Amino acid sequence: MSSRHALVIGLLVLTLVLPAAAAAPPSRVPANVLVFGGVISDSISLDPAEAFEFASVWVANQIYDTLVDFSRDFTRAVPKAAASWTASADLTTYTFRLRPGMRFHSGNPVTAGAVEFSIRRAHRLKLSPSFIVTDFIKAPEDVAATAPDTVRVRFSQAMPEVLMASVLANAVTGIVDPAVVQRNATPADPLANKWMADHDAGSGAYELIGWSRNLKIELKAFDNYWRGRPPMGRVFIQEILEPTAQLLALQRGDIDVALSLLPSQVAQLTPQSGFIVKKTPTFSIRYLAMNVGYEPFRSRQVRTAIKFAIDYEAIKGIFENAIEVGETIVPAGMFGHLPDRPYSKNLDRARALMREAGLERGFNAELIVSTEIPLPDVAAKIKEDLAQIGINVDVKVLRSADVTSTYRARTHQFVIARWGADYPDPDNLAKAFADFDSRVLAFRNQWDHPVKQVVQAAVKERDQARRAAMYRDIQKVVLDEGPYVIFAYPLRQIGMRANVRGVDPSPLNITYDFSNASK
Amino acid sequence: MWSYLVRRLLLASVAIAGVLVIVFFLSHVIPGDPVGAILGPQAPQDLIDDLRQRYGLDRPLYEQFVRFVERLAHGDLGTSLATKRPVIRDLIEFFPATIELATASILLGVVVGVSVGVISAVTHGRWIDHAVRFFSLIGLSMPVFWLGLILLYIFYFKFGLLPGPGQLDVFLTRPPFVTGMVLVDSLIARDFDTFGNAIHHLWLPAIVLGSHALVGIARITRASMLEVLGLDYIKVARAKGLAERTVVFKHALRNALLPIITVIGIYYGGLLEGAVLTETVFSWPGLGRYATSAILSQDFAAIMGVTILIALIFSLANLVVDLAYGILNPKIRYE
Amino acid sequence: MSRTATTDAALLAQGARDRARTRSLMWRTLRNPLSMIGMIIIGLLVLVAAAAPLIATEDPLQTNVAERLAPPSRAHFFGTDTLGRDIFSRVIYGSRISLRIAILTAVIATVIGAPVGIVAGYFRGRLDDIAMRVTDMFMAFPRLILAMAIAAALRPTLENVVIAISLAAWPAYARLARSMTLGLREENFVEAARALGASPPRILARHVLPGVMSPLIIQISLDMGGIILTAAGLGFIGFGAQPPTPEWGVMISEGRNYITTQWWVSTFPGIAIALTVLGFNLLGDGVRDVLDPRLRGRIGA
Repeated sequence: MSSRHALVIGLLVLTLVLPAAAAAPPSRVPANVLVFGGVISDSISLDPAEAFEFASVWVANQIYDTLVDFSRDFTRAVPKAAASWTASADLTTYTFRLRPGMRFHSGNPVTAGAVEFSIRRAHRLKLSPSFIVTDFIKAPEDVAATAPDTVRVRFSQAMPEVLMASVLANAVTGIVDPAVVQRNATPADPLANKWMADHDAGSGAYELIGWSRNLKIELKAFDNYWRGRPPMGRVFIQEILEPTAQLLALQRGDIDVALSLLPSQVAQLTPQSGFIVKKTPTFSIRYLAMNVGYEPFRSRQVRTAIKFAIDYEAIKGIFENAIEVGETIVPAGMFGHLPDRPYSKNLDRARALMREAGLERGFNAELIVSTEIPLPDVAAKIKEDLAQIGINVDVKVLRSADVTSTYRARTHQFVIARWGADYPDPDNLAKAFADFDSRVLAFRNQWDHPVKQVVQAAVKERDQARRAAMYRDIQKVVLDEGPYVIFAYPLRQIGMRANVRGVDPSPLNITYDFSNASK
Repeated sequence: MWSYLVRRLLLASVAIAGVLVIVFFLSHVIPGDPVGAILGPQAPQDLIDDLRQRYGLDRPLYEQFVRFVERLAHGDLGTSLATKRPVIRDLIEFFPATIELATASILLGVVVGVSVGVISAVTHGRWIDHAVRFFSLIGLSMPVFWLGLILLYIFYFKFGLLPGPGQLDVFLTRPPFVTGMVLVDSLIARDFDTFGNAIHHLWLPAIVLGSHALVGIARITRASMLEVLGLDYIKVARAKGLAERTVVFKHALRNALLPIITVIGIYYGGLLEGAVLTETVFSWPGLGRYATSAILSQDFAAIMGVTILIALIFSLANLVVDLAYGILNPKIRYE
Repeated sequence: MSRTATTDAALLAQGARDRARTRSLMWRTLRNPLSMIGMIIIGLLVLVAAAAPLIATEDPLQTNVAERLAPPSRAHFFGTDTLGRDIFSRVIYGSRISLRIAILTAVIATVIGAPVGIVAGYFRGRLDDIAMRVTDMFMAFPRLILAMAIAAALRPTLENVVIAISLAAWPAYARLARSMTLGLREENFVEAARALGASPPRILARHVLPGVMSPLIIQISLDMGGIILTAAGLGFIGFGAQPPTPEWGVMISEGRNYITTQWWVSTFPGIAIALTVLGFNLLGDGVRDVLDPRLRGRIGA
């Protein structure tokens, strides 16, 4: 019997010891290394002509230089690879003079020929972000090197400076090293798009060391960067899918910056505990759209009644305050934003409007929404709100792909959706929301309003004050008559250790530029 | 035996072909727009049409199927819509991480599970048996994703005993790609720091993924041991005064192995299932996550590639189990 | 696999033959303290599900943003979630959903699986071959992944979760029913019925089906825990029920982001799932133990 006991105890000890042997001290980030925790698994390619996702665009921005950059307030362009430029009188043609002495990571000089090659390459590849180029530059030949340090870009329309920057500060026009591209080209892939997916041909602040998909992206400081060598020798962007795991990693000191924390987690990061949080608006909009093709929504009174029935403050709560409440189509912080907020929950007004429309007995409507958190909860809240004015909402939660295809097919009634500015100019939003002819959101919701003519004129307007006034008018019309209930401008909040400097989020492509990051 | 093997292989290929047909039509019948899903709601229509044409998604369904079969015959799984890379390359990149995790899990499950099972059997009917069974049942009852989160919180965050999500500390460089398995590759490269680090990273996900297999193995071991311990020859051995250790390990355990091995094979195939959830919680760059995102974005080529691979492994695991069963138990003859 | 199934079948047939034993089986199952605990848990679960409106303190869907993420208190026993909904009431109502998923899945899978298995096993030949190849096909795939594909093909709703899991689960029941039938068709009473000129449908319905049912029910009770876990897993990765449905898997998924700060959001639904599955597992284990010592563990595999 005693030997049987010994056996039992022995085996028990064995099972207990096994996991205990796993103990190891947690590793910390070395001083000259910066580690971001975020989600990179949706990235398809780091080729600047193809990068189109959250992380890939941001990283491509660090590897490749563009001709110009935005000023921090997004009102004008500032020099980057181009030291200076001039514009033709009609604002269609820009001539750029390159910064002298710039080099690619390969050691080759950055020339006007390289700029010409890069933008033409993006134009020809016709990949996901290419419309940012092709919408404004008709043919590849419209970009031409006129001297070793001079590039001329001819646009297909008048381009106020911010709009010009929307194209030429975008990573899609990042300057690639033609020699490196040509060396890695194959007959099937003459522009080396496949090779470029995870290799480097840039001149930016960081060189790409490697990209293990779903795992990490590794960057190294470029010694000969024109602004000087970045202080951080290495930068890693580590895939951490779960926001909770990002928070844990940040608090344990395994990462320096957490990119996709949730609002409630952000609240835990206090300066006392050694962390700071930086916030920024994102130039995007969350909204509820009504398809005017659906009979009840044809009535302007009904649309307005719905705008008065929704509890905007409650929705802000559902987003855990990580939004700004705003009701116009040009988000706060962007040129021309109209800060009007005429709507708040007012059931009497809403019911009166429903009576005016002859629909005091209500109607049924289907609302489609994607599974993305917390949108189903927002939908549930909207259902609750609209029930109070007699509208019986049937919420259908679908995969985002299905929401998008239904929305595109214009067969929805209500849909909850998001629009992020492709470029930081009100033209992008005005076109989408108010210009039926550009066949985007106004088209999808079958709302064809004469205000589209103002949209088409505003982009050509050269006088900034007058242009701003035109966008304010457009916003007013959409606010009063449009088929959209805009309930939020989402914020981005990133958490970091208090000693991290130079990582500043911006409304566009998250963290802008971290070439000056240090800690 | 050989004719049995050939027959089994034939049947397995018929089954896999059937699965392929079902999954192909199922995934293509789904109303939805994979190209739109990948390009997002803001992409202009002409870009979508262009890409759809490039991937042949505008062709009739039967034509797409014929093309798929033709390509498959040439060993080409097509190009993933989501990663824009050949599916075969994605599988080669992501599958080893899953194999590594699944193998670690099953090893853990076998070592701990068999020990626990033996303890339970030897102390049959007494409190220690009840306690072990009760706790193992609790383990079996925990949703793996919840268990993962809790263990991560306790071991990583609260006590810092184990590293967080991921396969390696981020600033360690992966060893050169040979097998794709970090543990194996780091040994080949003689990079023992990386090897040690990878082991530490493996513990939590392996425990979580292996927990159900562990309990299953423990139960089957207990049952099987009890059965054997009740047989006459064990009683004889005990009566002869052999040491308990000898009786348990040399006589009983060896004869109890048969069902244990069966169940190990079955669980190994089944770990792919848990991998989907475990890999999500631990940011593990494996096949489970690849499969999830492929299904979510209706990435046809990727769905088909994953289907083929999983069906192959599952069938193979079943075949191996059956063969092992026959080898270990000569009483079974193959028709 | 078929080999193990056949051996099991013979053994199971032996166990199931003696119907008189059924009552003593239940008695012996409940004498085991662990099974007793399982029985109590399941009993409580059924009670809670039936009386949910009486037990719950609030409407499980009623949001109250002002009281969001409140810790457990006398007003909210389990605290509130991100929308200020009462977690206690949601957990209580969640028991209905989990039970419904488990029972519906079991019923659908049996309704598909049993006839297929019985017909295949009784008539053998071509029919049997085809049926077995079809089950092979389904069984060449892990259940969760098959369910994911089906749930994605349909739409992420509760009903479709049931359909998806049933479609993934029926082949196992068809296999079991078939191997039981193989044994039963050689039995004296079946042969006697045949000799007396009973038609095949009559034989199948009157003599074979009852013999197949009890092992099937045992098998299903063993699988219940697994079904609930699969459904929760689907909910967790977004293929299953959708918010604001108070499904436990979805609730954990929603609460997982608060695990470091508001532990109660995911902990209580987690405990609810674990307890429920534990109850089914304890009970199933007990049944299996009593049935036949040599059978222990093998059915579930």
